[in-house]
Amino acid sequence: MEKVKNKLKDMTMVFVLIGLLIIFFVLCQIITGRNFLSLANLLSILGQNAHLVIIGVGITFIMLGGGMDLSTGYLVSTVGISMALINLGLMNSGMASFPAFLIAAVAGVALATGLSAINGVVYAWLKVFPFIITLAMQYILNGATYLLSGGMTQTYRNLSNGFKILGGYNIKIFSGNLKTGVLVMVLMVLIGSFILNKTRFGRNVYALGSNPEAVALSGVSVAKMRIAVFALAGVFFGIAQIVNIGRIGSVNNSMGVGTEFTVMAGAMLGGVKMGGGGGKMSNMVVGVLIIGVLNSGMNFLNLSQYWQYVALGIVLLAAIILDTLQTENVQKRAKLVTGQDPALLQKTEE
Amino acid sequence: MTEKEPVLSLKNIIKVFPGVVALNHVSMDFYPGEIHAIVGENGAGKSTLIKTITGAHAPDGGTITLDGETYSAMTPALARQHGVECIYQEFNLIDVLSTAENICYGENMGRLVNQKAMNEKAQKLFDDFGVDINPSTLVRDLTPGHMQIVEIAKAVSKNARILILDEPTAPLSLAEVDILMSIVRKLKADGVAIIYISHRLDEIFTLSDKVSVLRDGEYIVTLETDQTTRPELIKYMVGREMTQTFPQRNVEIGDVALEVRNLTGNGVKNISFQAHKGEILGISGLVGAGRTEIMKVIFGAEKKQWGEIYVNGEPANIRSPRDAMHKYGIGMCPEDRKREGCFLGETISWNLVYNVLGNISNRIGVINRKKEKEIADYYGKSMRIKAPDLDKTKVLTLSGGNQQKVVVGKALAANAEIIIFDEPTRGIDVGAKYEIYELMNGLVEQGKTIIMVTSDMEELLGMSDRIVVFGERCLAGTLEKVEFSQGRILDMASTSVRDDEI
Repeated sequence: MEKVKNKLKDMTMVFVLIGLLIIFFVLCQIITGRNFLSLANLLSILGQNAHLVIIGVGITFIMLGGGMDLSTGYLVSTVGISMALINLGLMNSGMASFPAFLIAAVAGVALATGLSAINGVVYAWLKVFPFIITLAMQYILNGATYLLSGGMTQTYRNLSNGFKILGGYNIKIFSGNLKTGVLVMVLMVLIGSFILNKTRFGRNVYALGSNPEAVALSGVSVAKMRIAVFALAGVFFGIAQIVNIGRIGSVNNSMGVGTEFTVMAGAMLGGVKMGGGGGKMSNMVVGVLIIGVLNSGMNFLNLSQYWQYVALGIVLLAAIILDTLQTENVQKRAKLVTGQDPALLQKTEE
Repeated sequence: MTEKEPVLSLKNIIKVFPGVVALNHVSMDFYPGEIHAIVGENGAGKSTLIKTITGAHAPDGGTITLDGETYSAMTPALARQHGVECIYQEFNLIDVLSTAENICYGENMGRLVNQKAMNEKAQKLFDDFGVDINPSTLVRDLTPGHMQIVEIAKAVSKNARILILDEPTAPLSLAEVDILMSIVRKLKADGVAIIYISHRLDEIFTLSDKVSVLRDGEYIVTLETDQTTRPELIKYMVGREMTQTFPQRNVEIGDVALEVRNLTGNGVKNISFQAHKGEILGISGLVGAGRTEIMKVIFGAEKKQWGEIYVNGEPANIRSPRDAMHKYGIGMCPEDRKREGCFLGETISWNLVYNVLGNISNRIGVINRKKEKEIADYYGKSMRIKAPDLDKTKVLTLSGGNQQKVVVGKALAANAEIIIFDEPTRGIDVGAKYEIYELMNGLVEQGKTIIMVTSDMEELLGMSDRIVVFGERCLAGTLEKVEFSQGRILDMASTSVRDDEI
């Protein structure tokens, strides 16, 4: 019974996702007569959110490791501009399209890894919650994107087709189109879950978020782990931006801006705890998709973006309330099992 | 003084915590203009008694009479209203505000901040005390001694009539102790009732008028300080019956496994001792003596300043817990198991294998589930951890005793030959304690070495083969089994040998 209950609790957000799909289906049928649950629309929702989920894989590592990252959005836009400049530059100097893409992509992922690792290094060095560190990085990278594009908003088109292959190429499935980015997304989620669940590194990510003092006393370098977590997240950020460029087909300065909040909100919505202490890769995927469905559904209903913001805020607040209530329940149960309040034990120790 | 009315009187105070009676029918009277010292070993109930007076704890029985009014429990507001002020070891100051602002904090001095009035008020208090502190200096720029004085000034400015000082001299230098004492004497002359808690018996003999002894939550006696002697006081503090039984072991003591020579670091100076194979070496000392601190140096978690560590006769260069665990086979079960010892939110198996992930994963770090389960099962069984499912049960939901077993198992899994147990049975019930003792016996029978830091006198005497006694952040001496006595240990531990050069 207990097991079933726990399983159900783990699935709460999946039910919320399914519930949303049904609600929007009904509302769309009644109000606009369009089919929200068509294969075409479902695949398009996945395609639109693929890069967000890949960013989410990186953010999940950071959050489970006890950190946060406010710089992701500007980081991916800096990386995007850089990849475009390298790609176009190489092609202008006579290089063939595909090698130019490869070099740009590898350089982009390396740049994302390096920039994110800088966050990690400063965090490991200063040992403060990475709010201000990544906020500072956000400002720096915001400036950097525009400096790279010559001080103004630029849109770079006519990039190598390679981007399209990884992100925006459509595979026809019955009446819908599956974007290749979705396949990359699935692969990245699988890789992320594997690292998290099956490897020593993954264990240490959880340990880091749960109790850094115990990690240090267990002979693992907290500083090295923090740097490694941010660097790994950077890899996923870079790949996400390649997928996003492929999906859109061009690059501009504001591409990616604000995604850190969407993705962190999604991860929290799904059940990844801010500041460490639990959560799974699948939680993040479900959370990000909930936000994706919410946005798509409200578009279908012709509600403005501003209503979408309001709805998203309400959903997020509801998720946090739910999570807090559940955590309290767990603590109550802990009290019952031991026969005494864990907090009280501390007090007896005079 | 007997003709005076007591300003504060405790009658039959009882306070029970889960698993322990912290105060058992304690009665005491406190008079104005009197310095009343309270002494007792670690865990005797001194802090609980203070918290009862200040309203931080509600007693489970008994009454508190303040100014002729009788209460069953205090509240912090009520205590303050009656002029009860307490100065704890940790300062309660706001370090980004000035000394004057701290002293006047919470007082109604008009809606606008009147810097001048505050400074004048603080200056007057400091003049009275005869100390030179600038009222506009920020608290964070003061020395610990001056912070202490600001705390007292703050209490006095609130018209404290009962002033409680909990180990006030612990953070102070010798010169600062003298200043503090003169201030306390001055307050006494002003008619304040002073409750003075200290481990340092010398201070109590210089300063106090009366001294009360608590032992294991029981009130033992109150003596006129000038009518008693240090040996008599110690006799009262330790006059306990040994009630607990300990499992017997039959072990041949072997070669020296760990030796430290003049080890200095983390605020502790010149520690030397040897621990043998098959031996349980007890480490005793009062709270704050630096026992845990030096253990962390040995384990590589804190920096060594100088001194040498030898493992099996070879010099050991331990620079991190990783070195200690994997190069020298030293394991640590930390004092604060929730904060440092384990991962509460994870499962038992997860915790048990955490230290040996390197051994059970392949080159790219993928963990071998089968080996993981083997190790977890082995230690789960040999530690006799009681839980429905090692793989599913989170440590958070276990009792203190079982949590401690997880911590021990986690340390042992890394093949520790020398195991440091810091307060191994703190906060766990009697049955689980006995199991931990059996476990420790089993380990030394296998030829392992145990270093046991403990504040529990019975455990110390009952389990140790030899005892190293710490004074204040230095070594006080080592006792062989035949020399064990509660009085001797306490006498050694409470002799203040002060050295401010660390």
